[in-house]
Amino acid sequence: MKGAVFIALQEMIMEEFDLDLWHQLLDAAGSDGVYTATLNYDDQAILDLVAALCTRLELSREDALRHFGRYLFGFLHRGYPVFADSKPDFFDFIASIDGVIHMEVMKLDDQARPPKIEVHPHPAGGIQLFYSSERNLCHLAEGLLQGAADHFGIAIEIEQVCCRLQGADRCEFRINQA
Amino acid sequence: MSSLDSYKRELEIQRQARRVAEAQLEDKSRELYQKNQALEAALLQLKEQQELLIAKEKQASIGQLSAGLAHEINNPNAFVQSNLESLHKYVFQLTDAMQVLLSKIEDSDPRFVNQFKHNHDLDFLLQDASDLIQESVQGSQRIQRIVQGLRYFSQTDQRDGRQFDINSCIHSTVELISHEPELQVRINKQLSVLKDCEGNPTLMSLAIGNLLKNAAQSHPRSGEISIRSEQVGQEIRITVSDDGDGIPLDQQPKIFEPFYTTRQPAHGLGLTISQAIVRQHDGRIECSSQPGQGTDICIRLPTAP
Ligand code: HEM
Ligand SMILES: Nc1ncnc2c1ncn2[C@@H]1O[C@H](COP(=O)(O)OP(=O)(O)OP(=O)(O)O)[C@@H](O)[C@H]1O
Ligand SMILES: [Mg+2]
Repeated sequence: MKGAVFIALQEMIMEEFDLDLWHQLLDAAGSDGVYTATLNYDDQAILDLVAALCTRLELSREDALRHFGRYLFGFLHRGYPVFADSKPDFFDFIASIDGVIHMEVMKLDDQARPPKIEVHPHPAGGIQLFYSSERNLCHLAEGLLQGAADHFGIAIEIEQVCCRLQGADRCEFRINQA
Repeated sequence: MSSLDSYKRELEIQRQARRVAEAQLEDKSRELYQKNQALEAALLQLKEQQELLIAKEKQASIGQLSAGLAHEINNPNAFVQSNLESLHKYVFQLTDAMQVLLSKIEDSDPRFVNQFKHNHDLDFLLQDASDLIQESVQGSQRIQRIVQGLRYFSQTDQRDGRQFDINSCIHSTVELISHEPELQVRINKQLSVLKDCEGNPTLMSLAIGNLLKNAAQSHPRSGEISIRSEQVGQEIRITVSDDGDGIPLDQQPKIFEPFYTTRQPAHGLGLTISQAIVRQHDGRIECSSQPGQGTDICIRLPTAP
């Protein structure tokens, strides 16, 4: 996972709590805390940090990832505003994650492994979003989606139809504007 | 509030992160530099190949044109030449016949014959007709030689794929040139071991010979010209140098043009032919000259694959 994601997590902890908590998480996860945005680090390290956070604050893994995802969107957008700024609305933007945003990520770094995201309009309205990744971070995705909705100033309802952690091929979300 | 110790620890972490980032930046910069170098080299090669292609295309159309032209000129010129030769014979025969006739009349009326010859300027006419015809034959022979020169342009793709050593071309050409009486200069050879070149050694000898002739005609101050061969990577370079007249800067672009010449008598085809041959071998020919100092002409050829 990119160092940028670790740095986002640190920024979130420092904004919402303090440096001491971050150091406690580093110690609990056995990390030296030295992260550079453009380098790649072991996936397990981010999961260990999130796990430490959950223990400290008595959060579920799902809630912690959702919360972090929502923050992460703002962080990524500050770094790369062009992607969201070039789209007129939330749904257009979501449709461009796989083919544009994550594609650009891979162009700059062939070690990067962003998830596979597939988006279709749903016959009953809204969209259907499929997420697949070895990392199984569907709750992070859900948070990122919420973050994007915040950015475009709309409220959305997200329902997770199925999850790879519970045996599905891939995770599926239904997203509607509230 | 976090403790001072926490900030110290964080400072140390951030310092390390900065070092890592700087190292990465350096790596990436180096990588970028190297990629840029490679790109520039590739671009240069592309440009050279493009030039070569354009040159080849030009060559091909000049080739077609000159093949057609050579044919069109050769035929009428051949019969003009043979007619002139017959005419020359006829003039002699007519002169003889007239001599016989006049001497017959002279027996009975010498005054009339004298008067007749004088009135018609006969002696002059007969002599001048013969001179005019002779000059015309020479002119026509010259046309024939020029047309022969044109032939080299039409051989665009007729080179055979033989592998040969340029140094042996140089040896035989130098040998040949040194027998031409009007090219009396010393030729200094500095030859290196070369990889083989592919094409037609006879044509290549001709191309080199033209350069040596030009150098010999450039009034070299030392009375000596030189020819050098060297292998530079996959490229063979043959350089003919003289310390003669040199070529004015504004004339340098023209020397490869057909019929450009500053010499009398000359056709201005030597370098044009050399260039055509070198291009047929996928090579290039370059001139560098200092007026009053001398001239280097360099042939650059690829080695056989
Ligand atoms: C400006 C917008 C975005 C940018 C620049 C961006 C960029 C990135 C980058 C750099 C990574 C790390 C990849 C790696 O380390 O291999 C990543 C991962 C991820 N992205 Fe995005 N992303 C954006 C928006 C979104 C959105 C809206 C979603 C919502 C579905 C999303 C879903 C994810 C997920 C779930 C991951 C975690 C990796 C995984 O699941 O395997 N991203 N993204
Ligand atoms: N080594 C040289 N030194 C000085 N001038 C040169 C040299 N080589 C070529 N030139 C100039 O370039 C002109 C063209 O050369 P090129 O060999 O094509 O024709 P030419 O020598 O004039 O005639 P040809 O070779 O057909 O008898 C020459 O007339 C001369 O002005
Ligand atoms: Mg010449």
